[in-house]
Amino acid sequence: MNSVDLSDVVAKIPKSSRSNLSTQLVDILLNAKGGDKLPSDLAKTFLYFWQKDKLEEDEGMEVLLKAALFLDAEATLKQLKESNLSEVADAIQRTQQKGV
Amino acid sequence: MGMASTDLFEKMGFRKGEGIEERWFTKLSTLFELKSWDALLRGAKYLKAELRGTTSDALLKTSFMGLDLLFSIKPPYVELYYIDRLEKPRHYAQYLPILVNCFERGCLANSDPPPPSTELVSIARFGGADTMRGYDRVFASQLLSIMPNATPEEVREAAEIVGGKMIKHLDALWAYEIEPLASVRVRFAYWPGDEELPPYVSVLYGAETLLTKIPLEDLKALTFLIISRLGAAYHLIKSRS
Repeated sequence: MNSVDLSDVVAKIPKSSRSNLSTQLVDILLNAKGGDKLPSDLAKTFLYFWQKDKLEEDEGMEVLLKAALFLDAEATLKQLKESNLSEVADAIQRTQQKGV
Repeated sequence: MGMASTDLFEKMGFRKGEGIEERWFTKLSTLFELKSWDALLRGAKYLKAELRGTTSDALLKTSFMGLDLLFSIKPPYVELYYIDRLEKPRHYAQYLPILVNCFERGCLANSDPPPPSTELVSIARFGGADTMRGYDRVFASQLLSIMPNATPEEVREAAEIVGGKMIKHLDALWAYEIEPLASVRVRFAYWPGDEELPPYVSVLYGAETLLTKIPLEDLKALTFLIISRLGAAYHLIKSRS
C-alpha cells in the first residue's frame, strides 16, 4: 500500500470534507494496533504533515490515507463510506486490486 | 478501543520521556479525571495543543520551538513521548511544568486566551518586582553570551528552525518575537555595541501575557528556555555555514 499511488484518489476528496475526514483518519491511525508494523518512512512522513498541520492538503491526505489503510483498511474504508465518500472508497479498492 | 498507539509514536521517531517528576503527570491525570471535555479543550487552546479522544483515553499533542510532545493520558496513567529537533537532552523535562501549569490555567479559565495588546511590559510587571527587576539583565546577558553579534539574517534563519518571527522594534538592529503559549508573547530586541557602549538586549512581554496569570517562575523558566533554544538554532545555522 505504501508504494501505491493514491494521488488520483485524493483529488476526488472535496476540500470541504477534508477537515472532518483527516480528524477521523488520524483517530483510526492512533487507535490501530500494530503501529510498529507501519514502515518508518511512512510513519515519519505522516508525522511531518501532522506537525505542519498539512494533513488536509493533497500530499498530506495521501500519506494519511496510506498510513490508515496500512494499519486498518477496513475501518478506513468504512469511514470513507460514512463520510459520503463511497466513490473514493471504491477507487481505493480498485487501486489496491491493481497494486496487488 | 484505545487512543494512542505507543508503538506508532516510536515508529515516528518519538522517545519516551523518562526521569520525570511524577507530580506533573498526576496533575494532568487529575484534570482529566475532574474536568469536562469542554474545559480540557480550553486547556488545550491555552497550550496551543491538539486534544483528541475522551477524558478516559486522550492524546494531547503540542510543540515548543522544535520540541514536539505527545501525552497519552489514560487516568491515572500518563505517558510522555517527545522529539527534539535540537537534541537538547533535558529541555522536554524543563518545559513540562510550564506546559502542565498552562494547561491547568486554561482548564480553569472562564474565557478564551486574551487578545494581543499593543503594549509591551518588562518582567518586573509580573510581581516580585524587587527580585525580578534584575532579571532583565540576567536574560540579556544570557542571550548576548549565547549569540553574540548575531545578524538579522542569522536570527531569521534560526527562527525558521524554532518558530517565531522577526519584528520591527524602534531602532533595534533586530527584534525577534515568539508566542509559545496562547497570549504569552516574548520579544527580544538587540542593539549592537560601538566604541562607547556595549551591545544591549531588551527582553519584553506582550501586555496580554499579564492577563494569562502565568506564574513568575514559569515565565522566567520559559524565557531562559526560549533563549537557550533560539541560541541552539543560531549555533546550528552557524555550524552549517
